[in-house]
Amino acid sequence: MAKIPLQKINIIGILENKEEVIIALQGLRLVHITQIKDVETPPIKITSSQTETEIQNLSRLIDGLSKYQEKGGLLKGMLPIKYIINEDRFNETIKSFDYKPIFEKYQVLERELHIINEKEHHIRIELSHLKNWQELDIELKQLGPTKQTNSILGTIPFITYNKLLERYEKLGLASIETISESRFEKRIFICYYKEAENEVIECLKECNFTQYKEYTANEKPADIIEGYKPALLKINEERETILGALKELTEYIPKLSILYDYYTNLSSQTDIQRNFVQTKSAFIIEGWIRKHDLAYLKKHLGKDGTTIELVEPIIDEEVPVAIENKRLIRPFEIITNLYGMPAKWEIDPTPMFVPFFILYFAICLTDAGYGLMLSIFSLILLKKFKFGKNLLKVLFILGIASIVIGLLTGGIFGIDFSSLSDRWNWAKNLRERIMLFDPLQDPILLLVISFGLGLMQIWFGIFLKMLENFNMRNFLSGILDQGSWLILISGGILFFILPHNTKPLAKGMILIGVLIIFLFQGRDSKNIFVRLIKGLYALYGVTGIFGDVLSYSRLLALALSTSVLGMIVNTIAILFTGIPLIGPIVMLFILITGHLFTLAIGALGSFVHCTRLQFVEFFTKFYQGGGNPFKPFEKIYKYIIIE
Amino acid sequence: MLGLALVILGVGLAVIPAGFGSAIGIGIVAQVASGALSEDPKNFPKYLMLVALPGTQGIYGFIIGFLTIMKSGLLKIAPITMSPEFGLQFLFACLPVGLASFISAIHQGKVCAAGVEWVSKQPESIGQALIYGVFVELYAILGLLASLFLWRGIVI
Repeated sequence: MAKIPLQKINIIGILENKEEVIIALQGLRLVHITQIKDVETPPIKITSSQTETEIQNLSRLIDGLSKYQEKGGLLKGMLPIKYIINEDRFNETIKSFDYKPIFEKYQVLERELHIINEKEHHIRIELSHLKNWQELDIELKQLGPTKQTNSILGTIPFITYNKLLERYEKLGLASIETISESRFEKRIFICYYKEAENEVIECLKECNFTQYKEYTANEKPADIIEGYKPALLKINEERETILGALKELTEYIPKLSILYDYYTNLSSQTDIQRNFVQTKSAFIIEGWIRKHDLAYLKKHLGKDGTTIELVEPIIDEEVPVAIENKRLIRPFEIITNLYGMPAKWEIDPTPMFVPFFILYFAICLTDAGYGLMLSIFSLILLKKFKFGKNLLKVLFILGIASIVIGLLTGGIFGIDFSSLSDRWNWAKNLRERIMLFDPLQDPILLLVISFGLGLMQIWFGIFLKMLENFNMRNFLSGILDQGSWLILISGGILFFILPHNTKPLAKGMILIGVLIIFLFQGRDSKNIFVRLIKGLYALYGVTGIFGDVLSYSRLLALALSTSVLGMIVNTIAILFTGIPLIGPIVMLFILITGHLFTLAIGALGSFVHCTRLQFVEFFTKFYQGGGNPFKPFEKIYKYIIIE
Repeated sequence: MLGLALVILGVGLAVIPAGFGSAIGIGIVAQVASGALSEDPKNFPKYLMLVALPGTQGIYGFIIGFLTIMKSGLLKIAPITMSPEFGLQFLFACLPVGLASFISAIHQGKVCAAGVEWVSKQPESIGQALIYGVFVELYAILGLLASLFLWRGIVI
């Protein structure tokens, strides 16, 4: 449980064996190689540019083609796809599959698609202009100057159109005709005498007239629009062909993924050398390994002059941390990872918070039915998908816990047992016997329980901090800083719980706690006044504890909201039983979707809120995180999983 | 007559602002998420959780509203007589959850939207972004609890 002891090592080998050693290390997955941030060390030649290009090309190709892949349904579309490949297929692909012709074909197709889309875009822009002038019944070429007149087309806002009409008389324009209108503007045809051109133009400018200038076509606008239709059809056909070809290419995506991961790992073999120290004939790798893996490493690496040397870490060095827990607790490490690995001197918090977390979640979900659904779903998904396993395992455990707490609180799919007919008395009695209390009838009890659990966890957090101090031989600090609070809180709890005659004991504990805090919190200061004021300020931290405990009221809130939501779903569904024929169907539909919805929202909310409680109310008492995670050098697969 | 009208007003004051808040909050996050997804469709499931998060406040309002409907007898579709005093009591009991959820959900939306931008650059931070998201919700929860206990205490 908790942290695994690690050993710092230096692997020293002959330069000729370097490649073999790297491949061996990658396969063994035992050694965390220290990243060298020191710029002085001369950098080794990094990845060959060819491998880099392959990786980039493959990445582009895979991302590009995945757009044309068929979406396998809503659920599949939401989850990242990893291909499960067996080793033979993997080796065969990297030996014989050449991706280059596919890449070229893809580039050609994409270019063609782009050209076609551009073409269509241009046509559509022109069409949108021409649409305004559909009603014009003369050929566009007929517009323009004649001997004495000039005719133009344009748009003018409604507001200024009247102004134009007024001047129309004054200027003696030959003709204004409305071609079409929209909500804000009119499209008009103007024909005027050339002699009046200047005034006309000025007048038009004042009236915000915008001229439409495409007069080159030989046909009427309506005819041009018709003329484009076959062209657009042809474009669509061509596009379908191109898309079809692209879709065919998507069948290569698994093979491309294999190549991508293969090349990435190849390049990581070269990249890792950045962290090596190299001389003319030898190289040195600094790294870490789990102590119990050392013998295995020596056995598999200690040939051809490669030696492994044990090193003592420097005092302030940033040491990687690895944690390992029992089977039931291990999936919950994903939550610890969200916060951060333990620092050098800290304990692994995972086994500390897991029991609380499970209990809190179960209280928040408060329903055996929902717990059952949760466990079943996670079990099904676990069998189907090979990734996200840790989260699914966590959900499964949480579901089981919810079943237990749900039975203890009488919540089963939010059913209101008191309103059932006498036929169900056996169920009612069974429920009564198992149930401890019903939160809906007695929410105050659950509130007090929530506060109590919160107080317990806070106390435990402070206790852990005290243990940490003791671990580092800070006995005085442990007792004065944490012990005082422990006594104070314990005294407070006892004061409320215990009967009258032992109250003096509780009062005494509170007093001792307060005194120690008051007198010793500020013991760093030499000045007695400053010291006591610091002590007072520290006592103010009691309000902090109140706030933390209050935060646990969310357990009650979530519990009630899930129960009540379930009850509401049932109530609404029952309203439909009266309706003949479709009634039962609608009721069934409401029940299924309603309860699924409540489960989803309830599970999401409960999970996030319970995690938040661990991080903010519990971890802050004793845990800082920020440790460097132990990451052994290994092959990393982005798209595939090797069986 | 007036009593029942006040109850109905109360239900409105619980459900409407809470619904507004959730709608606005979710809208803010969904817009930012759509923008982020247009550049990188991979993170859809992660953004989904952030988008869904402001939705809970609307549900809190609805819970109180529905409980009020049940307790006042409106669910039975039969004539109800209720004095204005009781109507007012229900009305005031609905206020905490409605108003608190309104403001809380909007701000939770803003936090989650920033969370989407954060996760788009650092996908592993989804957990931390979610945790930031629920901080705001505490006050809607307190509003729910307040309304709940008030509702519970009304004896017709």
